Amino acid sequence: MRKPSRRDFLAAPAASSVALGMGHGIAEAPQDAPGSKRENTLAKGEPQIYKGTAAGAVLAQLRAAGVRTLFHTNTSGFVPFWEAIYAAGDVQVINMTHEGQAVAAAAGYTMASRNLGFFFGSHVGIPNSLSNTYNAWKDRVPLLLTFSGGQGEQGKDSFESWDNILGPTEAFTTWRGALESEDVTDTLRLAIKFAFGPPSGPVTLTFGAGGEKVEAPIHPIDLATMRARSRAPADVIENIARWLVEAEHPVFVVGSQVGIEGAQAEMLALAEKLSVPIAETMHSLYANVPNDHPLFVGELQAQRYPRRQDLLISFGESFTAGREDERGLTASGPRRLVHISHDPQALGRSFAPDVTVLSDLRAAIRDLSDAVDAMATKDRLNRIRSSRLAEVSALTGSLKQSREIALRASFDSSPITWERVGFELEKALDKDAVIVPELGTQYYKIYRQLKLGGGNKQRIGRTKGDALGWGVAAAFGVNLALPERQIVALQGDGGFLFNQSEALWSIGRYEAPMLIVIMNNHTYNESRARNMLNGGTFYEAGKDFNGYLGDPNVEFTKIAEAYGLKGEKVTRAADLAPALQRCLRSMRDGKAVVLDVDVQVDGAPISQPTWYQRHSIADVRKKKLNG
Amino acid sequence: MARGIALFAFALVMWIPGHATAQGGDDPQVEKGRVVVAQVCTTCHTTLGRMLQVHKQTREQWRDLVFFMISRGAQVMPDEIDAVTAFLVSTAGRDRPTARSPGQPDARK
Repeated sequence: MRKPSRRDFLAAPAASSVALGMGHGIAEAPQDAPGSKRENTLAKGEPQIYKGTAAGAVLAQLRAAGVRTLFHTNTSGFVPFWEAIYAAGDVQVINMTHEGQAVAAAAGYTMASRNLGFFFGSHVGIPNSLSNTYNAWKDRVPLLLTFSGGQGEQGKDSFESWDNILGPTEAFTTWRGALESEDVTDTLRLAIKFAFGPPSGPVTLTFGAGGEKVEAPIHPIDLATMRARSRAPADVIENIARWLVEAEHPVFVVGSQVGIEGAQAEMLALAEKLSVPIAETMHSLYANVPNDHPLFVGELQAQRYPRRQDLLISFGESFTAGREDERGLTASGPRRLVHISHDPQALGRSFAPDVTVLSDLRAAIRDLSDAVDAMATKDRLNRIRSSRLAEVSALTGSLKQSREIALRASFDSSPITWERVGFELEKALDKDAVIVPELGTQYYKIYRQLKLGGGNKQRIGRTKGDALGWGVAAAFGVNLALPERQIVALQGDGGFLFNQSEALWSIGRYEAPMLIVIMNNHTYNESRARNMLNGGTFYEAGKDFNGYLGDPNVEFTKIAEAYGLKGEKVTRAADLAPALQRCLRSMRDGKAVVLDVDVQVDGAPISQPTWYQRHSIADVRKKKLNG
Repeated sequence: MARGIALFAFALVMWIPGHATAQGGDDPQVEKGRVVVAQVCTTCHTTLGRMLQVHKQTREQWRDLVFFMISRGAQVMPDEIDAVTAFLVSTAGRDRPTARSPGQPDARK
């Protein structure tokens, strides 16, 4: 943790396109009511001087950046900040009952809104916040996570304190700092700059700014322009364009940065120009291309076409999924590899490309498209496009047929197939619904039945971090950002049990009319299947020490009802569609639903599927207790 | 590391033909399935040989598993489903199921 120097202060606004200058004062008086346009009245590049408390300066700078939603978890120590929030009148505080859930909600909100997620809470909640801070870091989500207190003397093991208070967040943050009364808004602007990067990600700050009187410069900040921009040299683009035109079997891999920049339409247009098949990795964070498009061929590592690729261009994919990504990059043998990324830290990190290109994705796609146009005649492009389109369409058409056969094979089975759940969701949900999954690799069975990407439904997640306990709160954050959409959390039963019922409290309080589907197979099936894949003595004995969750058999509908939400339970395939209609009616009327669906387990069967290692404290107990 | 995985997958593909031929004889359906499995499955399942040694299943179970993998993204074409099932049965089949999925009701604990 370091305090910014005056040199940092001067450098940061320049780097973030925010100019310095003299300004006039902002009164600390109560601000306009919600809906006011006042926040947009600041002249671009012209700072104003805030006169009031240091905590009030934090809020004023956040408001000047367009931040109106703050996430919070219970603590004392923020009285001056509460005073400022009360005075502002146009800021919504979202209370969450656990710091980790608050960070997940802030992340979901940020991923859906492209705004800045801001959290304030107690330093002693830092350990609680860590798993979802890690997820947000993996997903490169810009967040400011601020913590009060913990400023005890170093080395004294003080009350609710430890040395280097932000130290535990160091691995999962792009920067750490201290919001103190001196230079408070300068530090905050630096923090915002670091949050947007690239690389973007969480920033943690101690929040020492309190009731001290300050005069602080407030700069208007356009969050949409905060990420530092880049563009590839023309000769590099021309070289890649030449490879692309000459390639016989190219493939595009489209990653999260395309979604982050909103460059999906440009991406698809470039692929269509030469009918290049589009793949994604297993851990793709968004639905970056329409999955019903004839050029979309699914996961890279599963590719059968083309068998011998001669050119792979990654557009904004970081290839951080480990072995699966490595297999995808090596399965089709030697070829030219091009990695385009707006994040310099992602370039070539997990594999060695032939060419690395640091560029905004939208700029690179447009430049590449222009270079291709300049390099080949329209007739030549048409010939390449039409012949390749026939091949790729034949493949994707056949795969669609196979999936239909697989869907129908066990269509009416109980427990219900995952494919059937996807099929019914596709029928029931609005075209612009947003899916927020936190499932194991079985999620593909649902995805394949849903139309996602492009003008269809959108998907946010699963988090690339995979630390369970993210999905429900993240979906709640998405709902805050997109109140006009149907939001659906697709949640495994095992994942839900990772501290997620807490999120239902906020869903109830803020009347988030979302759907939480619990894919309930009474099992940690992802780990069960992997543990059993290669056999072993415990597999042969049918003793799975880890997987079975059905005893106790959790009644998720009762958990929902405990928070004032609606609960629905479905065990038969034929009952799913009517249950979904009831869920949609409840959502329409403003109340969230937890839909508990009894779904199939897949992977290797085991001889004693419900076995677990029993232990009863009640049986062990020898002492006779009163009562 | 990546090259090592590729080499291992290559070795695995090479192993499958001999193993299948030994058990599948000259059945063209099994042979067709062997080729598809080598192309499709080993890209993810680098330990497929071990898996087929461990997991012996009935024809119905293997067919369900093929469907399950198609839904997950395995690129098996409609006219290859029976062939892949035939290869798996020929290589790792059994007559009766002795194992059940945890999703099925079971009174024993």
